[in-house]
Amino acid sequence: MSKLQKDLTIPIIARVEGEGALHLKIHEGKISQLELSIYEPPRLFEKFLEGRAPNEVIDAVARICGICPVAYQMSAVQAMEHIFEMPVTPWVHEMRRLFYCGEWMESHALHIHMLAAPDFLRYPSVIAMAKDHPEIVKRGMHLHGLGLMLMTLLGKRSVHPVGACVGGFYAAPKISAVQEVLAQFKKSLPLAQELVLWSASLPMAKVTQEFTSVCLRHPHEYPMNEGRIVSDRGLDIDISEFDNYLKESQVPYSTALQCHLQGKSYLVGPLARLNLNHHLLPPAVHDILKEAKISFPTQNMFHSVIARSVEIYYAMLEAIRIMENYVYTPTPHSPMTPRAGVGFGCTEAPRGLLWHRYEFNDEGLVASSRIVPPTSQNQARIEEDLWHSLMAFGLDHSDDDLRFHSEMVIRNYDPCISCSTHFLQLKIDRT
Amino acid sequence: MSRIAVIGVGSPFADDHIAYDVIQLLQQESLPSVSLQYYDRPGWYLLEYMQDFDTVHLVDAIISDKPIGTLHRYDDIEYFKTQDTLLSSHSFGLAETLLLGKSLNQLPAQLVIHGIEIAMHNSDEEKLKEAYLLLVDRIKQEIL
Repeated sequence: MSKLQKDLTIPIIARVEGEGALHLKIHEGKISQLELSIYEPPRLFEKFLEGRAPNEVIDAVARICGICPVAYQMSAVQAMEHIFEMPVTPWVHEMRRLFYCGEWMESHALHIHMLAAPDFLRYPSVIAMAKDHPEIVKRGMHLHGLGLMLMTLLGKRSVHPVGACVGGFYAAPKISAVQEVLAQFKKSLPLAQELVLWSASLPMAKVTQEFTSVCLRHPHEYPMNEGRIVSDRGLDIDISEFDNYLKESQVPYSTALQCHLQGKSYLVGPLARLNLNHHLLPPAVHDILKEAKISFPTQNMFHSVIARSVEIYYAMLEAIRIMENYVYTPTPHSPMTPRAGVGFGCTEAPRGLLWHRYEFNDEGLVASSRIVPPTSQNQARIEEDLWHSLMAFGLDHSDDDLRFHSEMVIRNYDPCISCSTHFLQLKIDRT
Repeated sequence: MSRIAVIGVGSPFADDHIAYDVIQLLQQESLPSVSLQYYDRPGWYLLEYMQDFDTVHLVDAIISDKPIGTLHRYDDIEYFKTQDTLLSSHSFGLAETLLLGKSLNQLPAQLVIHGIEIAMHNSDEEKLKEAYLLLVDRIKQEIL
């Protein structure tokens, strides 16, 4: 290693939601300082929700993110149903799963084709990549569109959907509408299989890192809406215990909060889910993984793109299963009786664990709320990955090469800084 | 027979709703065989919505350095620039979508982009109304 001294600042992280910056100090060939700064303005949603009625909360949280509104709605609804002691009917359980399948497909298809693929294939953007690989991009757009179709089926629209309510959905889709979507899914299933094989063939570094995977785990289902929070290092807690183990904190150089599990960084998202739940996937998914010569768990962070592809294929299979068994119901939601109390919701957003806590007052309105999005949980892990990946890549590369490599590492997490919902600590000096 | 569509895009909230207003006004006119559509931030899926048409007039709000209510008209998407690699999945907007459509050879034979200048905050409602009424007339003249 050369006795290199560099002070490299990447002012804006390209293709990362919100605005971010990376400050990297290299001293005598080693990284002496690495700071990922996110200066997305705080979104204040937790405060907006105070004084709101239950179904207003569902509509409001959908606006935190244009790509994963279903996740915000599902975590919120779970927390409120917990407070109001409402059972989830089997029909609602299945429809929420179907709703989530749509969002995973839509979000993952965007990430794979807009962010990951251009990185792996060394294009500056999907626009440039599309000239050489039009069929790949069109396949991504088609799978994305199928996801939107599911979100619209249950949410009435794909952007900030309005179909979900406490207790279920405002209306049940007609059987003819479900059959129409089902036919499209069956016809398109081979595209998802091709996607898995293609993503496994992408040129990616064979580097492994030590990291802890954290996600939900359900006894019988690949996790979406329910489960306990588990890790591959022995964590196994109820979602109400989140705060006892997973701590948010601020760093001086970034407005986004970081999250640690017992003082250490951890990973949430598709790779963490597959690492901890691959045994719950149906045989068809295992068959395609075998054909792709990929196995989980894996400690190669770049396998995240394969994990996303696998989850698209799984979501299609799961959606087909649910739609084949679909039965119309005239009572798509249970009656709600708001009451005071504290409740928790935790579901698997496309980018990982999304935790909500609500306190309701005697009037049945929100007294306080807390939302911990997946990107906040991955922040510390991204910094750790950057440190490891840049050292492995070699610090004597040009600034442009270091910049590209850093951006690729960050984008691999599909960070969504607009999901950072917290009100920041405020210090006021008065004289 | 040429298949024609006027497609408005944008959020239904704040001044970005202007495309929605334009489409609503056009729906009150007699425009047989013209498809009038509105989409709330369709992203790259806009390409799918456009692909059944030979001529598409796109309507969207624009923020540049011009006064509120200024009408913009583009026949060539070469005018649309994106910031090198700044393409998050959220910020994949109209310009990126149209450039992607060009890469994929998936744009309609004739594409006209109509923009109405808005402000981020405190728009002048009267000026905006004048602008979109004028735009409705212009679009009618072009497609009839």
